[in-house]
Amino acid sequence: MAFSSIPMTPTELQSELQRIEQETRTLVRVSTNKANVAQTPKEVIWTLNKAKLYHYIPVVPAEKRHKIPLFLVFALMNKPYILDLRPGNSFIEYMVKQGYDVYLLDWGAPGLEDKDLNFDNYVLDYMPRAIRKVKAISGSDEFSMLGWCIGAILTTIYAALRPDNGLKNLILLTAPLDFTDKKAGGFVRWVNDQNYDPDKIIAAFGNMPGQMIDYGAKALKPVENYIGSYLTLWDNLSNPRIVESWHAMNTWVTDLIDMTGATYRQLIKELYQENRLIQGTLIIRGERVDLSRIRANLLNVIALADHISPPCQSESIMTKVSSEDQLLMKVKGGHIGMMAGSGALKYTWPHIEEWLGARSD
Amino acid sequence: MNQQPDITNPFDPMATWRAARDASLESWSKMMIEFVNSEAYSQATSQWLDTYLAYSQPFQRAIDTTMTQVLTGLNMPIRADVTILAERLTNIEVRLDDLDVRLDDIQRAIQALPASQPAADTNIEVRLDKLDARLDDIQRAVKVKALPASKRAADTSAKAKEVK
Repeated sequence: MAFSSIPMTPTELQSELQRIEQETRTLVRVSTNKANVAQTPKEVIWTLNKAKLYHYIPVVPAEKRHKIPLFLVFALMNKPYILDLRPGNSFIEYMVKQGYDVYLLDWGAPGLEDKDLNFDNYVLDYMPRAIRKVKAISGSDEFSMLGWCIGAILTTIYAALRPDNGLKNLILLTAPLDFTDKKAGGFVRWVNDQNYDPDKIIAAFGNMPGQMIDYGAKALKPVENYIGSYLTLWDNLSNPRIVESWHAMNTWVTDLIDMTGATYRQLIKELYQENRLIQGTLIIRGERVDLSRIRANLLNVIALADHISPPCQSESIMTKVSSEDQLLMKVKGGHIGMMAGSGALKYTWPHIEEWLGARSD
Repeated sequence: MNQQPDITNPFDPMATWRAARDASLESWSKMMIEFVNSEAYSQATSQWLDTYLAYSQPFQRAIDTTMTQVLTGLNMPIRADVTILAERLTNIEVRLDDLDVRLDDIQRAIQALPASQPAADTNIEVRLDKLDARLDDIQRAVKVKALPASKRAADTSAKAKEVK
């Protein structure tokens, strides 16, 4: 909101004041209200504790739809509606229109009573039940599974532990799996410091507070996140397209949830610090997670400018799995922008759809 | 860094200011990213967190103890009670989900039965005939069991004669 030119006449001054008034209203609206998000029509088909499984209402006739359903698993510490941000900028809406039978697992917001839930519970209690429901509703014994960020860790573990449960296609987005390089990115450096003890945080709070996770994510790029983002809004208050896009993204970014204490402990100690998943020493409820048991077709999507899960954390799984059909796709953009930014509709989504479409009938 | 407005005027002092601002933010951003990725920042953050937790915990414990005493005195549930209740509800949900799985299995098993079977069963006369035959079998079996062994042998030989 700035003078685009210096007003010279009373008429210009009046027009400029009207513009400023309008933009002030816009600023107040987007900073005090939440945007309308997650609008693609859906129904809840299964619930367990805080978790919900959504089935998106198909818009393509049954005979033209892909036979194999698509099951989406998002991260644990953010709301999954980033996949369905707003009409026209929604991966889910896009895939439904392309003829996919889409299901989304929403983990919900854990409370203190859930502090003991860990990867074992999510992978072996929640996911198999949700997948059973996906199969029952879709009538297909096979399914495709897409995991993003921590969701990609969960889907990878599931794919390795239950390779014969009908998983045909596995799509990993910005998957933090390999923590060999202890200097790759801020997160790895911070949590590997000798003074950093997740047990103390969990003992104090029970769960890992969403605000602390948010601070960690924003501190990786402090100027962009704390100043640049708001300057972008300020400079573009007269541009409704940018304002609405910013509003929806800001609604998601500020919609924080805690991560259960046991999951956070497991994530930091067993993965970030001890790197057990990629080394094949991770044990989930007594079963060793052997990545070579993954045989599903694999699409691994990496964001080249990802500062949260740097590419080196995601690439090495390609040599660990037994999938004969595998593709490593590198796209421009950051951890979130890759799937929810302006380039997602033009590049990332069509490429994912093209790969999946050839393997979904 | 920031998306510029669509219209820019080269004689506009604001545009010049914006360009200078963005340039300085760009360099500031690079500097800050380097800083947060440094060992010094990692150590400082960890130590700050460690200190914060060490000093805040006694206060937190005192608040928890006081709240527990107050709520117990008021005969109201404390956080632990609510947590236990929530855990029990989750366990019930898991049991319900297990039942749901079993019901689905039963439903599938019923649906998998041959299509001709239910059609035959709906014919009442056929079903009555089958029942009648089974009752006759049962009646015969009961009669045979009720007779003494010698009588049973005699009946058997009599039946054999009848057959001849």
